[in-house]
Amino acid sequence: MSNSVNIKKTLIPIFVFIALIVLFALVFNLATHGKFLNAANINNILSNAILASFTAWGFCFIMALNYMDLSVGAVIMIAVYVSGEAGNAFGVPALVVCGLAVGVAVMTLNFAIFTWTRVPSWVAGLGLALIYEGCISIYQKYKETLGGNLVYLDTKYGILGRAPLIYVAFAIGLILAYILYNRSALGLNARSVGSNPNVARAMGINITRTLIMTGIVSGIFIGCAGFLRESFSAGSVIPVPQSLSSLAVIFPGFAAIFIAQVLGKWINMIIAVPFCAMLIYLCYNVFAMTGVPLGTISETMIALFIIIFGLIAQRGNKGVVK
Amino acid sequence: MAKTRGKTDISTTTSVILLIAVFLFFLATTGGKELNAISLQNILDASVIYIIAGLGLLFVAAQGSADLSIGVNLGLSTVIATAIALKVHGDWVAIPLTIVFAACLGLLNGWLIGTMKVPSFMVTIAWLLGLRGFIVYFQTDIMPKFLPDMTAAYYQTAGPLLALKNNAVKYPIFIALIVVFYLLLQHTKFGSYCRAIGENELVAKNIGVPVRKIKLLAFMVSGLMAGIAGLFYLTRNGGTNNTVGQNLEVEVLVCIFAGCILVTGGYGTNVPKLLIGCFTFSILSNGIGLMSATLTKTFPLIPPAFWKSVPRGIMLILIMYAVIRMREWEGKRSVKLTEEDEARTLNAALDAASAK
Amino acid sequence: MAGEVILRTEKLNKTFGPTRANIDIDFELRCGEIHGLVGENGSGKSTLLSQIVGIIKSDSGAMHLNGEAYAPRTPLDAYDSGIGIVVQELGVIGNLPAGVNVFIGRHQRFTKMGIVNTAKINEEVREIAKKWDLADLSLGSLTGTMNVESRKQIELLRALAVDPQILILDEITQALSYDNRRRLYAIIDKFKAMGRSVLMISHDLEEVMGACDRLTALRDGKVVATVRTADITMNELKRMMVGRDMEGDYYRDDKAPSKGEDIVLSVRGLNVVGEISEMAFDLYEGEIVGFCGLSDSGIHTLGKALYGLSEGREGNIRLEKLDLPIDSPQAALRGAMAYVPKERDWEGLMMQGSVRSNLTLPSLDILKDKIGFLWTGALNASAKRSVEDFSVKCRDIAQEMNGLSGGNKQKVNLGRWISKELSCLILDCPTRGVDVGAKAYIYQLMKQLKDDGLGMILISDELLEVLGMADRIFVVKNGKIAKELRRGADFTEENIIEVML
Repeated sequence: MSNSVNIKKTLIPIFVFIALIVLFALVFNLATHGKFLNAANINNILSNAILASFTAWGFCFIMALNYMDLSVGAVIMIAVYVSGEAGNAFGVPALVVCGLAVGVAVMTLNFAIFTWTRVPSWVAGLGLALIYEGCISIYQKYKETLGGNLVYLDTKYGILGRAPLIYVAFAIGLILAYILYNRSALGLNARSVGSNPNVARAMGINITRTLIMTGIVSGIFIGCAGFLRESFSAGSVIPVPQSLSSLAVIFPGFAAIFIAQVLGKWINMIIAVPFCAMLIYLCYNVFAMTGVPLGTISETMIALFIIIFGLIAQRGNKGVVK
Repeated sequence: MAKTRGKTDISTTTSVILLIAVFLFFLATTGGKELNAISLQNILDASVIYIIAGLGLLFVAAQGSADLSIGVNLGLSTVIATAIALKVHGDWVAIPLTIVFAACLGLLNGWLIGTMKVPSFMVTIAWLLGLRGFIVYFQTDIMPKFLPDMTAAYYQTAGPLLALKNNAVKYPIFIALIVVFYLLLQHTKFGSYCRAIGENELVAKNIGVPVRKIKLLAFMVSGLMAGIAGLFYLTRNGGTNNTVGQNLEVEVLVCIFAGCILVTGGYGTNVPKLLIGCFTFSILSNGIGLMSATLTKTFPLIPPAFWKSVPRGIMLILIMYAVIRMREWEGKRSVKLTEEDEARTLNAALDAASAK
Repeated sequence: MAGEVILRTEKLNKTFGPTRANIDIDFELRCGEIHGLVGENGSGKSTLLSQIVGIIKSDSGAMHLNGEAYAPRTPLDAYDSGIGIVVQELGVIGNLPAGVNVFIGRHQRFTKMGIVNTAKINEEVREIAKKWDLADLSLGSLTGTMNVESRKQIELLRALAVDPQILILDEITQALSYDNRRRLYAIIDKFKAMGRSVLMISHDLEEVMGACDRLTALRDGKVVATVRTADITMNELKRMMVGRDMEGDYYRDDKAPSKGEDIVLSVRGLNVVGEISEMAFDLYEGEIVGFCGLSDSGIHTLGKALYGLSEGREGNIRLEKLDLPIDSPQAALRGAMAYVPKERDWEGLMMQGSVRSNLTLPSLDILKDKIGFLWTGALNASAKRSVEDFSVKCRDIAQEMNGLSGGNKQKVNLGRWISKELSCLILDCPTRGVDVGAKAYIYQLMKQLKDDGLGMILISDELLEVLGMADRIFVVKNGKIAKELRRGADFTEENIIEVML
């Protein structure tokens, strides 16, 4: 049955990937005298990779429509603070619900703005990022006047950001993303509209409805990225973004999806995303271990990764690219 | 005499109206403080950086592309200039080397984007975030190791770059740059080809325009000017830090769009609009700065950071929206006018025929 | 049931700007018949098809399906009415897997609670393929990664998936390999046996004569004849398709070929993958060499290739006088060659640019002064001169190209090259979409340029034009030069059509 042939085709590259990572991990562990392969460190890498995966999955849907929304970072931060407040006030369920609500509402708004104003999505995204960051700063001021700090989630509510629940969340996210992107009517419609809007319309796909629904779905993943991030940082404050530092928030997610796109020929993009995210955070970890402070050369490395993968992907690609 | 200036008129007019509107608005709300000498000086100073970087970015924008890496380019240039100058104890080495470096970064972009066809977002966003990390690393890790006697205030006390602080030197150079780039964009093959590529890249290619070469050059110019803007920054601020150039790309983009230049570039891209847009933006920023005390009093809950970013964001989206709508309206109007012309001619011919 | 009319059109009309694409089309398709639709490029075939299929709306006239009024607003309506379509305008969605493409827009059946059961879709697609005996395809791969033949097969499956009463096939056989073509014919035979109908559009007249029961020939937007294939011969068919009245003689008067001494352009071993193979010829000074063939024969790619534009081009093209190999459009521009593309509006002119910028763009090297400076005065003067020289009707040189009529746009398209000193001029369909007055003007220009000694290449879909203006004609078929004709007694439409089709 040809279904099994397809599965085999997908699994082999995955195994290769995993094998490479494991090999790298072992070698590096020896080099750092065992500091690498201890549970806390691995957990750290994987947790960060999971956060980035949710961001990247949200991007999968955004890019299915051929949009490039640079305000996603700011949206995640809004979800972070809202879910934090909700979590402290009403517990974990509220954390989840509010995070999701923020993601869905704002992403749908973004898509509406992209469609209605017809401003190119990257420009509009930049503008929205500025606006959203501004709104977050109001929130910060408000907290200041109340005498307190920015919210930090009480550790007892941060269970979703720790093992084992974070891995449960990851599994749910992976399955959901896979089904929605590859198997749901929505995912197929979204990819049709982004790929060939004329044929999509001719074949009876309702473009407006598809845009709204895709906004909701991407919003779910972005919202997850938000409340998971807050859960992960339970007990500490996450600083507000300003001067477009929200872009740095989504950088690992960006990198993951760009590289996953290149790998899309061999591995389904949704599945490739967490592996790419893992690879990226492995690199971050390598740098951290060798004493390089966060946010410096590691970022440059990731940038070089992106560019090299972009080069590989574009070999043999013709046409006008802006 | 036949009209030789055409559709660019409407967008230029709009940008001027916007400039005047913004100016009057802040004049009113700051109670005239906008007009005092210090304020004007600030506006001019801020505009200098935007205009210089914008002049370079204009060639990329004319082609319909965007270069989001000019901010880190500027930042990196300032760091490199400072490092070299301190190491070698002289500006005459640092300045040309910095300019070459900045241009090379631009050239690399041009190669990646124009020749290798890597999407311009991927590349410039990668630099935007990746190089910022490098800047921090360089300043916190490398500089102390190689330049143990570093003083960040070097540029406040020494170097011929300081001559640039003298207005009698700074402004003529600045004006010369504007004039040169204006001529370059409007009156050379290179500038015309850039704008033609923005209008319709396929047509340009079919005519024989060397599109890859032009893209390469445009990104190089963009990088080069970012480097020069960095030098100007150094003279104004005396030194550099980790966040130099952050957001510059967005600010210059807002300047370009505030001048009602289309995101697709084309023949409507020109230097006067950039200048108008830069002044509009600087007045906006300066005005908000002046008003911040009043604003905080009226809206105690809203911090200065809000006023810094939100008006820019709103302006960016609204202006783009307005420009796009204007373009559509103009397009419909020009086609309709010709149909009316033809109908009139036809009627005249019919009348003449029936009169016989 | 067989023999009854299943689809009928009554006086269908469709006009695009100055072109009347379909004029009072009366057309009938019967049950159990295989009906061919033939006609040259521009005869109105695609327009008629697009109306039947729901891609465009008719200006006037009516359609009836199974006796009831039929007016599809989108292709989906056509699908729902039992018409399966494989048309060039409706491709596949590249970012989706092949199996899903077959049921795009109609996947509600397989959807439960928003989840599409792709396994079930693929299963049903395989059943359809088995039922109609079509080759197996990798249904999980994205169609964007498949070749043209596989994509056409997906479109065929998509059409068959509605179990249609009418199957419309637009130029599909040329994309299929021998094997798959056999399978397609088997399907067509089955349709006939089941009392269903097939509407086939093909340039391959042998195929049409062999496979179809009846055919309808279109010419210049009108139906010329509807006949049974058994009742006519191939020659009669060809004459039906191309014979027309001569519209005034603004072509050349002379009946013999003439050319200068020197070779302007030499072409050897020109190859473009999939389009042109092993073309070789010489262009002389003061000579007009015509190229004609079907739209897929490669003649339009030839124009691009000669100007250095086609990717993956092999072979030697030399400008003899300058001893310059033409391997890029920059070299062609430097060598003072000119290329006027067929698709004027999006390959030739910047529609939102001004008349002036369009006119001056190819001449910037000439208009600049010693230090490379372009004076506005020089640009304006050059543009104004061109507008006068070629009688371009526009308000002023700052007007947007959008606002000019077809004929005037073509004058700008041509004029900007002709105002330079050229070594060689390549024209692709120069009078397409142009009114009679502008046509006469352009032919006049060509005659003058020939007298001045300019070598020209004229690529055209209009046989009369090539017959009227060329010294020599190369008839191109399947990317190769099939025949060379010299001006004189050999210059007849029949001679060309015989080889071309």
